[in-house]
Amino acid sequence: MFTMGEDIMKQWAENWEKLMGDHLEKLVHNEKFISEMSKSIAATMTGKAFYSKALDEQMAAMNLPSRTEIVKILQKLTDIEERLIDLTERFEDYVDAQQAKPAVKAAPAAEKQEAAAPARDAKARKQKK
Amino acid sequence: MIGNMDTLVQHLDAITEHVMRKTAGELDTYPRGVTPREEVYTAGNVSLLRFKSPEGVTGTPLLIIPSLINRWYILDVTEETSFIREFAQQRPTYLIDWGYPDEEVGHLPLSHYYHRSIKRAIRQICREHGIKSVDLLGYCIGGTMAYAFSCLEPDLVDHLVLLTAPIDFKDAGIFATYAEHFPIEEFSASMGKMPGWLLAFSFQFVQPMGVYQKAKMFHDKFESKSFIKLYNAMERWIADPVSFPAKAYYELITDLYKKNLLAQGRLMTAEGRQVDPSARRAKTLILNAGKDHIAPLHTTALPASDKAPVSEVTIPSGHIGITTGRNSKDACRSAIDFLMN
Repeated sequence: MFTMGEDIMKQWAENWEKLMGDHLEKLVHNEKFISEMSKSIAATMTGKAFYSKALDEQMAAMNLPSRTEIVKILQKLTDIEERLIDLTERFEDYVDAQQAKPAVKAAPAAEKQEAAAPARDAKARKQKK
Repeated sequence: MIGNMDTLVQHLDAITEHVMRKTAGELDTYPRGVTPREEVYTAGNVSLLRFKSPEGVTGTPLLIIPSLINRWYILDVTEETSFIREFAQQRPTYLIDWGYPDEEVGHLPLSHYYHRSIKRAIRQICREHGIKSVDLLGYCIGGTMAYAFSCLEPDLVDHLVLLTAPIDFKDAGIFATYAEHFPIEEFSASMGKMPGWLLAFSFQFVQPMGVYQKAKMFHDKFESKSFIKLYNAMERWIADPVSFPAKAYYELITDLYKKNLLAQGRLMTAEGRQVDPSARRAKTLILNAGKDHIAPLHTTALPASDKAPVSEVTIPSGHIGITTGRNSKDACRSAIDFLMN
């Protein structure tokens, strides 16, 4: 008896799940529904922009910085930080290149010294004479 | 009103967090990612994480680009399902943590993330290892970004794995329909960011029976310890939403979802560089999920102009299931095989 009741409940729950699932799935995929919901969000966002602007003006009238201004300062700081990171990278690349340079330059310098050696020796021999 | 709602939700979040901490017990100690790691570089909100590999692990380093929409540790949510743990056993493994962007980066373009940030991370890795290129793995929108990067800097990317990454946004499923109708201009004029809670809500909204089915599954399986561990870790991840920077979100919706510029080879960076798929050379693996409602199969196809060598593996799972579900091991193995050969 109880098992039968349980089965009926289970069947009912499964049917409910399927019906609700199908209905809600259709709803959230319905373009008309999505379009109307988007219009509602657009209206809310327009209202938010208007409210924020009014609040900014109130703050300006009281000679106080508004949230928008503080965010702008934060964004400027972000830009400065970004610039600093770029410059640091460039500097590191420059240092890397400079550190790689002496090894390359050492060879021609050594060659030059070797090339100068016979002339130096000849001069020394001449002075000795 | 949405701004006020945002503040209200933040307050509610803080109160909920406090109450949960008091009552959560073991759940409170759940970590954000389980593989040991260290932060090796930071630039603003963005940081580069290096995961601990066993002694003697060498080879081309792997850089993972997670999605900007949620937290990275979905790829490292438990020891049993962690992709990152598996990768770190084979290769030096790095990951870009996008952090929690807020309005202070709301003016940065999408190319700041898919070009500048990834390039900086690769530069650090190359300096550390004395190499010229790395392997990339991008998940979800992170895959889209990794793909765009491999078009811009073909010399820096050796292998590329695109894990459920939408590239061709034409008919991109339910999210494309919402993107088409989303009042993006009004958003741009009024919001400094796309709030994380709203993004999280939109993911739940398109699967209206999701919460009910989750509760039902919990009821059926709550006696299994392994299930509870994964369930709690997933809940921890879901309850950790991330806001999307406003300008980057605007470009994501308009340039990618509405105009599909990436697949057409017409996407431009903020510096005016063209993201050209025909310039790409990296060997690529498309690793997609057969039941993905966020990046349906056809959206993961590469543009015809892309001539780089490509292989494809489809895993019978969903967008999240591919990283934590019962077939996630197959997905992980496919990626490792591709990277190692």
